[in-house]
Amino acid sequence: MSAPAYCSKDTVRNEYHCVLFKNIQMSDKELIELLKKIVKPYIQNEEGFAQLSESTHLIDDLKINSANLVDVVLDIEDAFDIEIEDDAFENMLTVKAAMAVITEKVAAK
Amino acid sequence: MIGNDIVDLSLAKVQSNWRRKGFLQKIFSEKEQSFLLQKKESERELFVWLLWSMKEAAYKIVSRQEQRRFYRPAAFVCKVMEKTMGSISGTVTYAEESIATESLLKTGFIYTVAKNNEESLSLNLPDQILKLSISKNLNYNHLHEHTLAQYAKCKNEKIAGLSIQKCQLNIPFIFNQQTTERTAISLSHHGTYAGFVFN
Repeated sequence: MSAPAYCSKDTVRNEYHCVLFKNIQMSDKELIELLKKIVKPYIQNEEGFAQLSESTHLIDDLKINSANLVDVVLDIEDAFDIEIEDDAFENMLTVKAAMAVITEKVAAK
Repeated sequence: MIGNDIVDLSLAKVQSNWRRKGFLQKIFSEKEQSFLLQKKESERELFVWLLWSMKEAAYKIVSRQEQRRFYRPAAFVCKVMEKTMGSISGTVTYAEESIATESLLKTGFIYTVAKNNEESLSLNLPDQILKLSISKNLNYNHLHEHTLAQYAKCKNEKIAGLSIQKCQLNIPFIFNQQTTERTAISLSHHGTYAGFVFN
């Protein structure tokens, strides 16, 4: 087993900035693609990952270890230049919830 | 109510980098962080996972009580009390509720059981642990079978009518087909270790 590839966040960060450069605003589809790259190093269920959609549950469907959820939050913060406080990440257990938090934080920047 | 959590220490080493910037700050209170800083460098990792397993075990009780799932590790504040014969007792406070914990620290794993009542456990901590062989790694059936066998033995019930089921929130319970009785249990699996607990 190899260590999680934390470095992927730099790629995501770059891609995020490219998206912004093109569109000013991210579409949901673009956001899901970026999220996919962020969670990929931590998933333990390939099947759930292949079918990733808004309703995907990070723990039940992707089998992300609960300690790695911290990494997901930190990677999201780095990639989107946002800060996610406890109140916001408390319910970030699905892709949909993560998208909502990111969209809200990015808009408030 | 009861909750448990097991950490496979060698798997945690490759799965998580607790030294990464922001990691400890996201899951631990300032007091917990200074508690960790006071530990010898060589012991720190062990205590990171000790506190983590205490938080997770206590969370399972709160989640069951409140019938909701959430992720707020920093809100579960740990206090390590004392080390007695091979185990460490502590408390985890969440929203003014104090939950007692007992943890086993062994070479390959850390195991914590949390309780918020006086009821005694049917099995001692070491008997709640299952070491999985590599081939059985991630095989939940094996954990379920073992748990049911131990439960049947402790309660003097026939194993035939027993099954492990999960509620909507994915919280497990033992269902007895004959009596339709439901008993809350807590299961934890990480790497090559698994733990199960019931009253």
